[in-house]
Amino acid sequence: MLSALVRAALTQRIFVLGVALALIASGIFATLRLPIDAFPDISTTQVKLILKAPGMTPEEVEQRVVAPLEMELLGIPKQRVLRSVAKYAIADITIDFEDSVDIYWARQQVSERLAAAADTMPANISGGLAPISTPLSDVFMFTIEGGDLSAEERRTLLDWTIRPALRTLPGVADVNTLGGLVRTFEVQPDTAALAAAGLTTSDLAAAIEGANRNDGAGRINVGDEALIVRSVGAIRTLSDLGSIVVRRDGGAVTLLQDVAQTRFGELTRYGAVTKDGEGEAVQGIVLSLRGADANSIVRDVRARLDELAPSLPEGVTVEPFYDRSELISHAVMTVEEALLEAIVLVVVLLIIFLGNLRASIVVALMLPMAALFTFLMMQLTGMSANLMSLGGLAIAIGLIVDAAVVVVENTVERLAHEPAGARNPWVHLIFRSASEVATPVASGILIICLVFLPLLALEGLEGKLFRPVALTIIFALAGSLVMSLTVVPVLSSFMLTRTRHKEPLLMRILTPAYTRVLNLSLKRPFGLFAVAALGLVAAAAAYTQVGKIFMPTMDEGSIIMQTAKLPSVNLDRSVEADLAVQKALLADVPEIESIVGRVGSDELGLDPMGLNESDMFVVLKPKSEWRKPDKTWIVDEMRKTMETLPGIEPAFTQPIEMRTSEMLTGARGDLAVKIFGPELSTLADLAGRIQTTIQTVSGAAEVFTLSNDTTDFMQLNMDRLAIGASGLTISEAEDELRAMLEGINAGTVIEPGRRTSIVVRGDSVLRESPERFADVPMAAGGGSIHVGDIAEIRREPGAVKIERENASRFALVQAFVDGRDLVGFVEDAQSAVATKVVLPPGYRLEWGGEFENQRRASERLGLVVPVALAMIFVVLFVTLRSIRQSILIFANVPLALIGGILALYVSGQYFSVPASIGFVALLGIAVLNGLVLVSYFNQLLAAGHTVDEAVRTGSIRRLRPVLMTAAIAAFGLVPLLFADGPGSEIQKPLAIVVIGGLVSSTVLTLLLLPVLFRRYGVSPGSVRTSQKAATWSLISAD
Amino acid sequence: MRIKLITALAAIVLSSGTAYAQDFSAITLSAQQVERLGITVQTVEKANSVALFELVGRVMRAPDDTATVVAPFAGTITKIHVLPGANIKAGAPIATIASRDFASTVSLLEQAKAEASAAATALARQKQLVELGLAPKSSLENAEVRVRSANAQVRERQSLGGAGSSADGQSGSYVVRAPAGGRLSNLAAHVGDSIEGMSPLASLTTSNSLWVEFQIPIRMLGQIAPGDIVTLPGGISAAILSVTDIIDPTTRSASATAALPDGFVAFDGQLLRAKLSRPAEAGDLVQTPARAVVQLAGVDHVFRRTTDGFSPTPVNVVGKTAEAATISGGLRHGEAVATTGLTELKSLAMQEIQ
Repeated sequence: MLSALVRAALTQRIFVLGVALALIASGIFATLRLPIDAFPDISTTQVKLILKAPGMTPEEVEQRVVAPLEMELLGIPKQRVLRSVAKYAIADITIDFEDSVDIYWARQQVSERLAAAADTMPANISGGLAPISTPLSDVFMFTIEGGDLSAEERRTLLDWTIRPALRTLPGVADVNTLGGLVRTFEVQPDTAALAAAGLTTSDLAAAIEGANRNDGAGRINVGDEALIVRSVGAIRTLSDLGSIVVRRDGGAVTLLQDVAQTRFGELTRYGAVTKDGEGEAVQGIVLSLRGADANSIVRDVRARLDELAPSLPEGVTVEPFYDRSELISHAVMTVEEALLEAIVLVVVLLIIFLGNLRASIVVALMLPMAALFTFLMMQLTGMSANLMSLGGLAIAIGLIVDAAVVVVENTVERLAHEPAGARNPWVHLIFRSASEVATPVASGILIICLVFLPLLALEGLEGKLFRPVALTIIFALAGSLVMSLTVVPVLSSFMLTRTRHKEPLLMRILTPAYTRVLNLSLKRPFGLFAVAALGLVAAAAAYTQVGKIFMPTMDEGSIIMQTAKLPSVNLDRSVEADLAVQKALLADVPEIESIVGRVGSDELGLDPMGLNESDMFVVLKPKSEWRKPDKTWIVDEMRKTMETLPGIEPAFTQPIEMRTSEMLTGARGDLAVKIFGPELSTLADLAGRIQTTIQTVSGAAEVFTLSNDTTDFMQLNMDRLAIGASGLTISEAEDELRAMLEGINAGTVIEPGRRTSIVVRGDSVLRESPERFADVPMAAGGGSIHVGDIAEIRREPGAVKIERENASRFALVQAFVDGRDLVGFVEDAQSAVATKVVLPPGYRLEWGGEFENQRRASERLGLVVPVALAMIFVVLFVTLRSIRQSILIFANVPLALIGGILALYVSGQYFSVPASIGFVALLGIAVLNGLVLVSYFNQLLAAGHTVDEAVRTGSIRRLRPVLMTAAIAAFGLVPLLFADGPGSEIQKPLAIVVIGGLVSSTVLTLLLLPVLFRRYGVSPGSVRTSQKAATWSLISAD
Repeated sequence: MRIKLITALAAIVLSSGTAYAQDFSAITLSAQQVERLGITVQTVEKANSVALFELVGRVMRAPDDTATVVAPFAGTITKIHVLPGANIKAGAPIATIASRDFASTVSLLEQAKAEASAAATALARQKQLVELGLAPKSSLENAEVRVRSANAQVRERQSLGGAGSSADGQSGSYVVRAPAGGRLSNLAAHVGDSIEGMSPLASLTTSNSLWVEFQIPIRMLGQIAPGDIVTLPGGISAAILSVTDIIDPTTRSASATAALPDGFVAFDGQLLRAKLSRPAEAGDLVQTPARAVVQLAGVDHVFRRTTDGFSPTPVNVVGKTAEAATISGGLRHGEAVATTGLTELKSLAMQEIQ
């Protein structure tokens, strides 16, 4: 069948060339249109609900907002987990769906349930479904600088000019805004005057809402004409607001301005942005829609911002400080460079081994063609070009040419040994040499594809990360196989010449050397066995020493420093402290270009942090200006600086890393221990104890829990008697209190191009002093009453936030691990916690975090790898038709692993998922090498050689292809070894494993396999063992 | 006496507080750390007075400086002569009121006057008769009684007409006049209103002195007494004149009154905020900014500056307003306490415990 393919190709040579050209053209076209991102889309089908409950405490948010919603949401089918967080004034509910679920269907379900639960929630709740974004969505961040604008003007510019302009771009899910001040029409009641007038803030709000509308009344006829009647009563200015009548008493009226001041104020702030230690800033974040092409979004955003630039106020500029496309282009460039270097190396190797430039060109042509074919397939299957898929291609470089190498090498060899007199037709010669190796090449490629099959079966994050790797490899290999059997023979027929070749220099050196060593090991096999056994022992020892992690951390080029302060800190102090941190860092660490810090919640509530939590986005200068080209060192320097700022706790991460780990477990950290149970205080206590226990485990870098963090509450225990006697109800009094501090909304003023809220809110003096607040008078029964008279005021600690999973409360302890492998750390931590912390009944623990992924991946691989091995075995058996020989080739596999593990150990890299992919690739190459050798031995045996002869001549004859494939595969990966752009951290361990493994595997294949084959390769008696009877034979297998 | 009681109570609270309080160990901070965290310190001052709490009060007229103008007879107001707010002299007309009662009172007065003059005439004749010896001396006494009784009648009728009121010449109308010079602060009725006899028609303020009435919530009631000094905006002091001990059922508070000093510009009905303070008796009272006091494990602390850092020091706050806290014990004047960067210090103090 394969021969038929080769024959067909050779009979239609021009057609094949035409198809190849078409393929190249469409490949280039596909490449240009391929969406490019840094990472594959790793997000699950996730729907987020963000509800704002101004002024409400975490426990109230939980009971009045989260709990009723959860009751509804838990009924949605196909959901995996329902997580909620109740914080001050915000409820954040996340529903993870099964991967197969359509996101729009899921959102539809959630919004139906939300509507159903709306009646059971308090009236002043706002918010709803969050935009369709993923952890990779923060593609572009900027601040607004210059022009001497006030914080409020900058925010207005962002909210009403820039945001609407960017939101309409395709692929943009939303533009998140942070910092600055949101302008309001503020009505600040004079509490005493209000109370004396017998009015409450709710009366004011009601009066304002009733006096703010434009409307149309219909049409009125004037003669033959009709006029449209419009009544204008909407509030437009502060004086409109001030002249609203709030009370009528006989003929006298009380105007709003008699009992309140009207002025431009600002919304209660839940967060702020600071920049470079200089002051507050306003920040915008462009969120990309799930599945959109980040690169093109950033390009569009930049173009739109350029369009906007002339219309911005004088001197105002938009200063980007994070641009995903930079990371993407760096990452892609890393891989591209590696690809190009690999191609050059491969060509050089081909020339050295084949000593034939034309042949080298034919083989090298396969590289771009297979790559283009892969891009075409990626486009067709909707994959994006990212670190992982391009990394897959980089791995495949060494393997792509394998098939072509074998075909061309055989052709060159045949041409070289063509007897001078034989005048076979040119094309026929090519056909014979190609079809001769077609079967082993095809089964070899099939085997390599099979080894990558388990990766396709991975689930969860690792599945999303590594399926693209496996797919690109499979695409590339499949493409190269087909082309090797069609395009390569055709090209060979055009390009190769009949000129006889000398053996290239390299082979003239290597072959005799190899022959001597082979003879020696055939004579004294036990020395060789001892070396192999020693290698295995060393590898086993090294394996125990090599650390294990899930994924190496990709260097994104930026640092995020998360800081935590006292939970009860107020926004002003938090901002001050952030500025102090920024100043100190900029002074101490000259590598830092700029720092943008955000504290508290963003406008959309996608990342609602407390006022004590800040994310400092650190932009670094170009690497060339660093004192030491090492990011870890810079982080250490930053840590040192933070020691001069005690009381502010830092933690370090990176933009994508932070969002990814947040999405995965809803928590940040390598290890996340969840304690489930009903009572907050018990949970906090357990969390504290588990935290201290884990801290003692070696390797624990940062262990923390927010669950035993408390913040201070000023608790007003309402005195039912006093409040009843005053004629107020508790809820009236509570509404009044909220209006005093947080403010209540009283409608909107529609101004040209923007909508501004009207807020009734107490004097800022009240917010500055509990004593003043206790003295606030409220109208009650004709007189006035003070807060302090109707409630007992106490200062009490309370929870900062309440987290729930599937409607059960839990406390979280997070740990970051440093200088140690994660799995070992988790095992130690688990046993330490089991012995030291006793759980009360009704409480249980769950261990999650990064290590959870690692465990899931290894479980899944433990299942799939044996299946893949079995399939490879079947392929081997079908090819060789011998169980014995198949086992023999399999015996080659552990030998390949020796080099891989030792290389990992020597280089100090961890055993991680990329490293194990390296082992997978290695497995394939080792089996392929073995197959090439064994199938040739079999040919020789079939030609009547004795086993000993077959082994000797076969090994020597196959030295070149075996060395070539191994060398090409290894050198193809060498550029990855030296790359240091983003993404190289992931590819490096893989390259190390493959290169190390190839060395050991090739050496041992070339030496050990012949020895073993001679001993076990064929059943005794099935072939001749004596030399004599064969002397007359003229059949040549050469 | 009361002050001693408070101090004693405070001492009990303080001692019990420290008994249960955790000891927070000192925080060592380098000069760089202090500077970077932006921690500022302020020197503790000796407190001359204890700042107890803040009061909200409403300005009012001193009650004894107010004169009420009364309309003596029921009737209908036909004319108002002055506008509210006008300064008037004693005897100036305020309102004209048409009144049947007045008319009948006038006629009764006329009758009484006639009777009195008749009685006087009779008495004079009787005297002549007695002098002439035509009548016994005893009859003279009888006539004198009649005269006295008739004069009393006249006086009563006259007084009914009111000191400040007089007929305006029209029959049945009378004019209400100002009983004293001053400012017409309030006019209760308008032209055309009918009013009852002896009802207040207007009030006159005869001087500019003002009082302020403070609402005293129950929780503060035991701590304030007449003679206490309140500090008004602008640093002006005023003494508490009286304190009621009746709780208003709806406002849950009693009231205290103080006289505003002369020259303090305020208006009737205006709301004032005042600080109640009391001269410090004990010598160890000190004063810090209110923000310097933080709670650690439920106990008030300040962060006292030491040579190499800060020491969390439990203190007893005897009085606190929005600006200042008065502290007894634990802190001496001249020492410095942290006034900013307290959250960082607090989290460091909490860490020490864990």
